[in-house]
This record gives sequence, C-alpha cells and structure tokens, in this order.
Amino acid sequence: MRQTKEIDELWKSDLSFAERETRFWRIGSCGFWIARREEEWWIAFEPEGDGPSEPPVRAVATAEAREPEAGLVWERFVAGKRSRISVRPGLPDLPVVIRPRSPLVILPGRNARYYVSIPVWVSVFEGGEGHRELLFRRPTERQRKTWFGESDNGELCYSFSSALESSPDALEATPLTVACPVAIRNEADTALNFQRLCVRAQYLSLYSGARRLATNEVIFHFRGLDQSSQVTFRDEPPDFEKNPRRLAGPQISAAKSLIQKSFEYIKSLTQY
Amino acid sequence: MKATPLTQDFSRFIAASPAVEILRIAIVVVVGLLLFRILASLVRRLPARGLTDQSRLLLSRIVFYSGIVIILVSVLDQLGVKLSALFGAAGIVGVAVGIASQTSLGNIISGFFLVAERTFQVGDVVTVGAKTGVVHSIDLLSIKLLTFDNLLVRIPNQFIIANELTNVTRYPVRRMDFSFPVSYSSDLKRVREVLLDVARSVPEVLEEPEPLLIFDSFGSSGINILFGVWFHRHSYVEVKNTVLSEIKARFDAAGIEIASFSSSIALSPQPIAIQVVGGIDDGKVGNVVSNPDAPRAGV
Repeated sequence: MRQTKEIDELWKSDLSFAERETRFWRIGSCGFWIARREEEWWIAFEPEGDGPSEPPVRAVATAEAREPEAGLVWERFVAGKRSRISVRPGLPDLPVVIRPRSPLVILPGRNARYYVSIPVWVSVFEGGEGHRELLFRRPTERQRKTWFGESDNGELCYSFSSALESSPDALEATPLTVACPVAIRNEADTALNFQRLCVRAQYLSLYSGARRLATNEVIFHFRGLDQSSQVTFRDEPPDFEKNPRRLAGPQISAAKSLIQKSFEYIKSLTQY
Repeated sequence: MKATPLTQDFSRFIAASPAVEILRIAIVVVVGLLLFRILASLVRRLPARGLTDQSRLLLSRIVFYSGIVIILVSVLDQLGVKLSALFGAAGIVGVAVGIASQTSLGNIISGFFLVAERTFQVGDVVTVGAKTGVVHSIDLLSIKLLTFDNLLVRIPNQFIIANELTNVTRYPVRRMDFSFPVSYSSDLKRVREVLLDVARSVPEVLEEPEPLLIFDSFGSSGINILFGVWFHRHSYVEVKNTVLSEIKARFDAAGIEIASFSSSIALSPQPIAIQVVGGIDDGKVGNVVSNPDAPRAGV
C-alpha cells in the first residue's frame, strides 16, 4: 500500500491558492512554480540543470511555498475568479518507442502478453474535479526523441528503454512510472522479430491501482510483412491491479482500431 | 397599355444612349469581376482531399483569368464588335504575340510541369541556385520565395525546371553535419565518446536514426571529422546552436583541441651560410644558393 499512499500524496486535485501565493513543485526531475497574481496564474519552470544531479529521481515529489528564483521566465494565464489547481499524472503527448532490453521473436500463430514501463508526465490543470483546463504537460524525467518508421513517413516519438516482463510484478513499481500491458498476436505465417515497439500513449487511459499507475491494454495484431499491423486498445481497466480508479482518459479519443505500422523489423539478412 | 409617343421616344433614347451602354458595360465588368473573384476564392478554399495548396492556388487563378476572358468577350459583344472577325485577327496576332512572348509561354508551361511534379508546395523551404526561402506562392510565370531575411524573390518557372532545386523540408527528419579537424595529438577514442555523448545530451537530437561519426581524412592541420546528427525539421536552429556550443564546451573540458590551420616556424640559432655565385663587383646580381652543409631553417 506504500505506493498508493505515495501516489495519493504526489497528485493533488482542487488545491486552493490564496492571492499572491507561490508554490514550488518538483516531481521527478521536473521543477515548476505556480503563483496566483490578481486573477492570473503565473507559471515558471526550473531551468535545466538546476534540478537534482542524479536523474532519474523518480520518487521525489515536493510541493512547498518557495520564493521563485530571479531570472525565471513566467508564463501567465488569465484565470478570472477561479483559484484552484490540480496536479495530476498523465501520459506522454507523443507515442513512446519502447526498446526491449533484448530482442524478442514471436513464432507464427503465437500470442504473448508483456508489461512495459512508461514514464509518467505531470499535467497541471486549472480547476478541480468538475471542470478542468490544461495549463501544461511536462515529463517527469528528461525524454529523448526518436524517429519511428521510414525517414519519409515515420513519426516523432519519445524513446524509452524498458524490460518486456511477462508479469506486472516483475516491473519496478514507482509513483512515476506506469505499467502498460501489451498483447502481441502474431497472425502471420512468419516469425515476428522486432527490436522496437511503438506504444501510442495518447490513446491510452490512465488508472491508479493498489500498487501502481497502469493503463488499459494495447493489442497488436501482426499480419505479415506486406500488411500493416493493427492496433486496438481494450477499453477496460487493467486486470492486474485491484480496484483501479480511472485518473485520465485518452488525450485523443480516436477510433478503437488504428491501422498503423507498429513494429520495426530486424532484417534477418543484416543480422541487425 | 399603348405606348405614347413620349415613352417611345424615351425607349429609343435609352436604347441608343451611349451613357446607358457604358453603364451596362460597367455593370457587366464590375459584377463579373466580383463574381469571378468570389468563385476563385471559393476554389482556393475547396475542402477536397488530395488537393495541395498550390493546386488550389493554380485552380483559383485559372478560374479568375478565364472569368476575365469571358467578361472581355461580353464587353466586346456589347460594343458590337464582331467576334468572328476578331478571333480571325486574334489568330494572326496570337502567332505574333506567341513569337514575341516565348519566354512567358515557356514559364507558363514550366509552371504546369512544376505543379504536376509536386516537388514542392506552398510553405516548403527550398533552395534554388543561391537563394533559400519559404515558397510564398506558385504563379503562372514564377514562384515567389520569402527568404529568411524577409526578401521576396521571384524565380521564373523556366529557371526552376532547368536548374537544380532542393526541397529542404520535404521530409520530416534531416541530418545536420558538422565538419571540423581535431589535432593530431587527440585521443580519437575519447573524441568519439565525447561526440556521441553530445548527441545523447541534446534532447532535440534524435536517438534514431543514429548519429553519424566518420574520421574522414588526415588534413593539413589535423584529422578531419564528420559528425552528423538527425533532428526533426522544426528544430533546425535549436540543434545547430546547441550541438555546436556543446561540442566546444565538451572538447574544452576534455582537453581536445579543434585544430585550426597554422604553421610554426622554428629558426635555427645558427646563421644560415649563403654562398654567392657570380660576381657582385661587376654590378650584376648573381645567383644565391644556400650552403648544403649549413644548418637549415625548418618550416
């Protein structure tokens, strides 16, 4: 239950601000100030390099009254009379390329279910449980970008290395990572041999379970080299967590099924 | 109702009055121009899929210019000009005009080829000759580039067809190359580590495709290195500035010297013996050769 407590302490809804009050948060390696100034929200981010020197600092979260440093660049949002803020966990705003620590081969006709870790993003909203307006979304640890697909028609993604674990318990449970179940169905008559997996996190919902944050299941249907693989998202809470509560819905409410290329092949001839 | 002589006179006046005729022509011109301008504008906003901005632009211009031709024909008809005779004359004039405006016609035809080829579209960054800029418009005779120092450059379509054109932003990812020499005393293994670490530390540098690192050649001042990093086309300036300054900072910290062309001259402490061949006394300057046994200046 320790993780649940940490999660609850980390993410707050309906925080009330007094006039001219300033608070500082550090969640992971993301540090930011929020201040209330005459019906406006003022937001500034800790300059890169000013945070903890040992990234990733996953379990650290502070929210304190702290005077902003000189020279910060403030962004201002006109808010009116509303004086409440919610700091919530979220998922990345781009697809995440998961690089398994060792390549995986799925034989023809076989299915597999794995669990991967996705880093949490912090989403700050104006307002409480009812009506919320997104003010910003930031990663809780520094993200590198990568390109998934061909140079003329691929897509920009975040890159993240994770183990492909066959049990959720094998994944390290921290308040700043999300367990994502991935089902892979090889419906082709050739072996599926891949080194990278693209999870389109914008289509996933985020849940808080008894031990960790988790998403709904992503299902990849592989139908051969010449055909695109199909990706579907199971619209149900994760079954490996007790009493999952939905924290956030998908950022993009797309159709349930996407026809997208989601695997990158290791060409057996190149042995790469 | 039977027309009175007065109304008959008025009708004749209306029919024959040049003022009314001019008014009628003016209405045709104004309404026609307005109508075709609206039509062209609607074509430009067509929501049809598969139509690029330049296709819309071209279509709208075709609609507008066709409209002008229609208005012109209507006006001439109103003026009582016999169009058949005019078209006959137009044939002859057309040949003359065609010969006189070969360049313009060439540009128009080249424009159609450019649109059909789809090498670029409005909004792309292209380089033609020595000019680089954003394609501002694609017109019948030329394309207009908006350069990064905010100049409008007109390039005739024929020139583009005949010359090399580079579309800088056609593909979403690009490689940025940095070429520089490091001194011969540098540890190349360390140089590799530092450069790859620079690529890892800049968030806008893509992890894949992987950075390119080639120890290119032995140069006059050091070992020439080609270091290429991949980035999304929107991050050009950020990547250029950050990677360059990071390379400098990390090399300074690691004690790696970026070689610059320099020569050092070490003079021998002993004088160089010079032998004079030929006479000086006779006023002629003789050949001067150095003594091969004497110490030499090193360059």
